[in-house]
Amino acid sequence: MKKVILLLIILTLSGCWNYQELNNYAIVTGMSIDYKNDNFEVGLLIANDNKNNTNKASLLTGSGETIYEAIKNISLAVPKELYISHLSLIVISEDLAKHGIKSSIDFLMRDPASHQNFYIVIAKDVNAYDTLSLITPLSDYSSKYIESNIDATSKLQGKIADASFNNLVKTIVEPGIEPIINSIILISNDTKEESTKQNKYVKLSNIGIFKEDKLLGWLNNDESIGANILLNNIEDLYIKIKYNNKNIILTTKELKLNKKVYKDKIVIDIKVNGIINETTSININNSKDIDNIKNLGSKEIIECINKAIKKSKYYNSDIFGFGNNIYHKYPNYYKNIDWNKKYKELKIEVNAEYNITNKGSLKKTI
Amino acid sequence: MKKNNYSSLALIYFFIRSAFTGISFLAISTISKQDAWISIILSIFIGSIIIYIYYLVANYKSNLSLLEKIDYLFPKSNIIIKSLLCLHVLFTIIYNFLNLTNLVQSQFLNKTPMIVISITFLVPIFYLVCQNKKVISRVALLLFYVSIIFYIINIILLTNNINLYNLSPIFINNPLKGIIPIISYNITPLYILLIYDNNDIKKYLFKGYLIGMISILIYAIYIIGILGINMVDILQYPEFQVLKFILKDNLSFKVENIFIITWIMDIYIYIVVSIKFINLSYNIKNNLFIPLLILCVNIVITKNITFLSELIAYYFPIMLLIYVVSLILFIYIKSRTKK
Repeated sequence: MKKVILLLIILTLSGCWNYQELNNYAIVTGMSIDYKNDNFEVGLLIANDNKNNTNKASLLTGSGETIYEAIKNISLAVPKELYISHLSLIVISEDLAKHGIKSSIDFLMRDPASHQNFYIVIAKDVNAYDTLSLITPLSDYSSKYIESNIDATSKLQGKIADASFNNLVKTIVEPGIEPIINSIILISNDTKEESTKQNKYVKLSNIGIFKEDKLLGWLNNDESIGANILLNNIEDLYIKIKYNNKNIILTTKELKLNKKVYKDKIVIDIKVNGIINETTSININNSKDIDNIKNLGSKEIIECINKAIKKSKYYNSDIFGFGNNIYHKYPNYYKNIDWNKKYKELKIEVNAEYNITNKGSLKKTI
Repeated sequence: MKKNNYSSLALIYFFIRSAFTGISFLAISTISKQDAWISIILSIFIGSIIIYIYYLVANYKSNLSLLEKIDYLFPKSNIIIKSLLCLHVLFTIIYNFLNLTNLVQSQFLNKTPMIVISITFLVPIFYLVCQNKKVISRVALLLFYVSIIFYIINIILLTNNINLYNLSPIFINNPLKGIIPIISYNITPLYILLIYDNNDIKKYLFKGYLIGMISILIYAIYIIGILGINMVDILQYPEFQVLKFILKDNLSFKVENIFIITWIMDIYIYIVVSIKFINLSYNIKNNLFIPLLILCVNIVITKNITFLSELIAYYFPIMLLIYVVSLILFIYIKSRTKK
């Protein structure tokens, strides 16, 4: 009997079943999804393991009525098994975003190989495929380039949303909150000489505002800052104010947000600690100047937030999750109202207090 | 103090946790939603009544095992009582094993045939069933230390991601309803352990019960706190998905595949002891019989698994609870009348 057990252990516990060499996998690092004529056109950016090849990645496309079908069509052209665990970025086209993204994310949630640890962005005014086909200057793969770009800037300027895939799915399934997604645009450098310069590159652009899973419109820079402040998604924010017709740059070092939630009203108190980072030939010598600058800083923040709220009310899309706040505090009240109708009537009061903690290394302006 | 005394504690710990992932958490999150963690707290108190009944049964002629007590109390109908208990034990083995193989196939080995996955897990189960109860206890103790270490690491690494806001609003989904699955799946099977030295078991019964229940309570809070109940609702194994959040701290890649092993240990020990219970009840010498039976049932059931989730959440818990508690109460009442 012991020999039988031993044999069974050798056969079953050796880990050789379905054993796959790394060479047999085509590692997918990026995915583009375009939507044309009721069909999904999927592009897969596959890492190239051939060291002799100068191209670090290959972009292959396929189409189908579903994402899975399109991927299976691509696999017909790949001599290896497609492996999506290392996927770092998904670019979706504006058309698909307007049509609805639920059908696209279903596959990525359902497939066990999908690690769900990637970003999702919208290709604005351009095909999603084109953004992945670029040769990027600072990274081997265009997907990695965009992913690193989001990582580096997401909390720094307040213009980029925290649109990780998990966060996106959460905002789609949660009540009283709508998703936002970053976009990328293609910039052309046609005037530069081709031999010395990159012709085209991608750049992070406006935040897309959604209702359920459909793209409705875009937030501009100020609105994006306002939205990120309300979503508490800012670590380092700079704002530009005009004081005596001169520019002053204030950098936020600490931002505290306090929300008071009532059934028909939200009161937001924001306390900001910031520093003066740059001035254009203006002397800030007395406390009166500092007080005025503080007031202008507070006013600027309130203005950005109000602009963001106005835009979200215009699209009737509660991207800030006020409905979710009300649901958590007054669940029975929330169940009995139609939040879509109620959101437009919701009163939102914003108070901000900007405090300047220091003026940097200079005592006097040069 | 005996060196391996804590093995009873380890066995209780594994038994409490075994059906949590994929079964009782699925049931309570379906019924009580974000109040699931309150259901667990309430079930700690209410479940202690059942634990007390088990304690009283263990206390009665504590030098005898449960099976010997049944022989003593029911000299004529002992085989019927044992069969009724074995029916429950076999049922729990089947749904636990089915749950385990389904997780492995759906999350890791989706191209591997179910029969191969089943055999892979049944071989070590069969090997341990062939050993005596003492060896099983020692293995349980060893795995207990590993499980505790992994559990603590999990909790520490996930703490950063928890958002307590996700646990609210509370008391809107009747947490009382969620108590039944917890008691039924996690607490009632503890009587199986009474095949071991009853003195040892009763000594660690309440301690093991508390440790096990608190461990699943913390885990439930973390799952709902990190994912939110709406995400939990759409995921098949939120207990596994939540471990993927460890990656966010850039500790390591795919670390969840290592940490899920604690759950495999829970089920492993549970199934081994349960098979031992059936073998001892019928004096089965062939240790291969029950594993083969599990294998066959598993292959048949997995062909149509989708209908099971509703049964697991709503129908099985109440049926199992009434069935087991009435049987154990019957044994206890008989023990009161026969000194």
